[in-house]
Amino acid sequence: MGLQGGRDTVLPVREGELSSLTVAGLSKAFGDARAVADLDLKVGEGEMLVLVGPSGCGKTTTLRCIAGLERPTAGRITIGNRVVTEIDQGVFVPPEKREIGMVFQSYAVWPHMTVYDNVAYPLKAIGVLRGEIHDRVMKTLRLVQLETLADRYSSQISGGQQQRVALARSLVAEPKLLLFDEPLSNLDANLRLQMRVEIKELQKRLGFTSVYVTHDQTEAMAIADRIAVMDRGMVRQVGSPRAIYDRPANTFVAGFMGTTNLLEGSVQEVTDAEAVVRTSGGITLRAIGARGAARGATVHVSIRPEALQLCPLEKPAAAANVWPATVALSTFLGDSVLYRLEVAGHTFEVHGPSTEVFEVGSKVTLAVEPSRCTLLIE
Amino acid sequence: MADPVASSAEHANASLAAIFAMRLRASGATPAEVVTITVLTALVLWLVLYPVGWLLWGAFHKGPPGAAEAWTLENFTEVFLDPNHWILVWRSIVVGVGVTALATAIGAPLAWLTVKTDLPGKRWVELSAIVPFFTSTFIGALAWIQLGNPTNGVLKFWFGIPTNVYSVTGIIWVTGLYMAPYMYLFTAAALRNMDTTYEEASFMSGAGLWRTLTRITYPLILPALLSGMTLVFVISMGIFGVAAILGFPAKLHLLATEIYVRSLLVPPRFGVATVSALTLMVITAALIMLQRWALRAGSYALVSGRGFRIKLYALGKWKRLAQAWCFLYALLAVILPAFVLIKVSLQPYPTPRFGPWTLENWTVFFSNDNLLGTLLRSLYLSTGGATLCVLLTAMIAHIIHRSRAPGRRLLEQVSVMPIGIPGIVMGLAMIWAYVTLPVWGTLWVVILAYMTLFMPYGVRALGANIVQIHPELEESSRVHGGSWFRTFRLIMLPLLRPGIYSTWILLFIIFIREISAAVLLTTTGTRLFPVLIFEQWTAGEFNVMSAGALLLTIIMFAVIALFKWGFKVDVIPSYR
Ligand SMILES: Nc1ncnc2c1ncn2[C@@H]1O[C@H](COP(=O)(O)OP(=O)(O)O)[C@@H](O)[C@H]1O
Ligand SMILES: [Mg+2]
Repeated sequence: MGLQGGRDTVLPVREGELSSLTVAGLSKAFGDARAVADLDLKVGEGEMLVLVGPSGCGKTTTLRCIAGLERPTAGRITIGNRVVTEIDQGVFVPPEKREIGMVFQSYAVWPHMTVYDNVAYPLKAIGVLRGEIHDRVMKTLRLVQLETLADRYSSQISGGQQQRVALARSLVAEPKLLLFDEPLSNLDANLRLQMRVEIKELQKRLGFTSVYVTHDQTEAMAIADRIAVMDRGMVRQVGSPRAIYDRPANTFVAGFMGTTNLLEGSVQEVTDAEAVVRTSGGITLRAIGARGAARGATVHVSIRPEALQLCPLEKPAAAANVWPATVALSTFLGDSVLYRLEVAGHTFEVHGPSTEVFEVGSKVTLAVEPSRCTLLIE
Repeated sequence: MADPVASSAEHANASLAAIFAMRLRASGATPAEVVTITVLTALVLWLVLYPVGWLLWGAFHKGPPGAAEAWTLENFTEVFLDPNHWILVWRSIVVGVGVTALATAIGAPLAWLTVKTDLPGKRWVELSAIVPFFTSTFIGALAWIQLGNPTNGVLKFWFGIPTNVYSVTGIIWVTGLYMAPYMYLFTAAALRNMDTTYEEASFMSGAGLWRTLTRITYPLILPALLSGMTLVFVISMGIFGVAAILGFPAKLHLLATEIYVRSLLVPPRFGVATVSALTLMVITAALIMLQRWALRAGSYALVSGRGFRIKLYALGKWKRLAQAWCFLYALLAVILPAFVLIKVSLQPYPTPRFGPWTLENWTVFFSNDNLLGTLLRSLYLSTGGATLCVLLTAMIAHIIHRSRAPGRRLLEQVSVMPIGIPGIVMGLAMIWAYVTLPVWGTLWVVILAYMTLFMPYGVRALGANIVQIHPELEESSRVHGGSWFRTFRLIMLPLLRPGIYSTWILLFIIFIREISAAVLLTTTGTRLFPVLIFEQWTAGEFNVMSAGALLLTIIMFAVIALFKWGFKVDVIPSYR
């Protein structure tokens, strides 16, 4: 369990597992504005947790508090088994003593140093022996395929290569925790996809623990072991990409992680796993995720566009939820057709195959399995 | 001698420092940062407040610095009941207003022409707007005495133009001419940073050039204009060199020169001089506060991203007129003064005629140990002083712009306060503060005075450079194991190097030509070159000292050239 959203969500890492990062009750205010509000997070050993949320929701602030670049207003942060921040006790370990690595949005590759010197910097700063530095730097540069560019300056390499330098620099000292702040947002689309894969592969291979911040939900799902969805300084849901997408805990998460059809209605009947909901428009549907729903409660139901099936009127589908619909708009997307359908005053977005096209104004049947309709209490 | 100011200031500093240290630690700063900020704040507070505190103390005491007697209000009553004092106040304000108006009228159009139009030969216009900035008002005044004195000035003798530089108008004219570059720099920077689309949107809305200039461009650069005008006003109100050299022959005094005269009377009247100094400082400080108040809401950021193209207005048929305007300025501020100084420096006595000629004025500098020694002393002082001042202001600017520590606002405010302290006032304050201490009579007192006075220039110029450096460059050092100090040393300082060079050169030039703060502070053993020029000139050594002024100018431009071409540094100062 634990898919319930809300501010008091603490998704425990599985019992007995060593957690590498624990954030408890983290708050950060800038003047009167609360950027992070009583946030809890746990990241397991070797896990990649992605913080995702709309711009301005406090992702960067959370990450900077973990890094020690920002002093939180309240809260406790533990990296490995060391408390690095505990405001109540006056504990605040400066960033350089936290044994972390960080990849910044701007890369922050120092322009007055070569690629080699950039990567060697963390080792020199923590006093690694001279003889050891060269080997470790070259090994790390090989890891990101930059060994041939060691003598270049940042102005002589591309954006993607600067990104790799930043990555190598964050990895070289083998930190306990790696932090990424929108590392791919300054790259063009192709490179972004490629780097995403590379970061994920490196993470699997080296097994580092990391917190990765992005505002892009596709990127989040592609790269995460687990995702924490943030909104207005709070975590709204934590879970695997699959769980977050298929079983959003609330309307915010459902709406933010991909497109969805949200229907408002009231609960008519609750069984063990399913509920019957009558929507404001007057259609009745069966949905799962009924736990905690009470009869008569006002709820939302989330249905993903790809979960809905379109059939010609004369060939009714066999699903539990079936409604007659009218095509209001159809947009050809190449690999599919996006329809806007009217059903009893509700508007649905539906993806249909591009092999069978329904004309605007035609009557169709819309069908969806109850297992793909998620009941949302918030 | 009792020194209540010193002990209470020390006390206040100590407890302030303790409070800072506590709040600093609470803000998450590391010990190195805490120590640096605390020490810097204490140092800056001391640099600025210690002399100013003593000046206040002195105003209420009888007798000279170091031997002051009882508390008294006599100094105030004597000065304030003297109608002549209020004439001086009025005259100083007239000079301030006149200079500001003239400098703006010259500098702002030049800036607009070079930045925004297709004026041909912009590099030359820019050069002629910058050269006077580096040469200084004082040397300009020396040249303009040869050009425009009423008896045998070149303008009168050769062209029959009746001019008299020994007048309030003369003082305004010469000062305004050489302060115009300040207005040029402030305006040009604002125009360069302004996104052109604001103006384009105005044209698209059907507005013409005049409407766009007055309704869009002017309000957008107004904050920069006001900052520039305040600076020019404050500097010109307290200007000493020009006022003395043009005013003394006509027995014409301003507040600044009055302070000098009263301090050098036999016996000196330090008490009344101090009250004059306070009057001057109150006016300049009030003006700065007025400017802050006027700008409190209107300081919008003009920068809207890098790399936008600056639209060029086609001057069309106005091109010739614009060029003539630029040339006229170059002629009056650079070409004629340079010409006349060279001419006089090659002649045995002051004359508007050509010839007789001699090289003696130049050779004497290399044969006379006193002259040469003074020149070298000025060089040492400027080199060392500029270096110390750059180090100090780099740390201050870094803390102001980067630290989140609570004391930084105080540090920022105190470090720009000296903008409101005229040089001669600082000189007098230093006498009160240091005359009983062992450093008195050494160059250290002068260095301290210069560092304090010109700290704001360093803090601003370096601040403008620091904000260009992405904060993540430093943060990524911190995260990857670099301490605060290591980050400053290995990341910030190298990235700031171009800014440090250009600030160093700015301070070097300001230090080597500074006269008003030095004139009361230097004695035989510590005489500085500009003071020597001033004293020898007043003693009638016009020809030798023309060569001296040129020599000083040559040194300044040699250093600028070395930095520009040797170290590839952008030597034009940057302002926020
Ligand atoms: N240094 C700061 N001073 C004031 N407000 C800030 C500061 N940094 C962030 N904020 C505010 O905190 C909120 C969260 O910001 P941030 O963590 O950067 O969001 P995100 O990274 O999710 O886009 C925003 O409303 C932002 O304006
Ligand atoms: Mg962010």
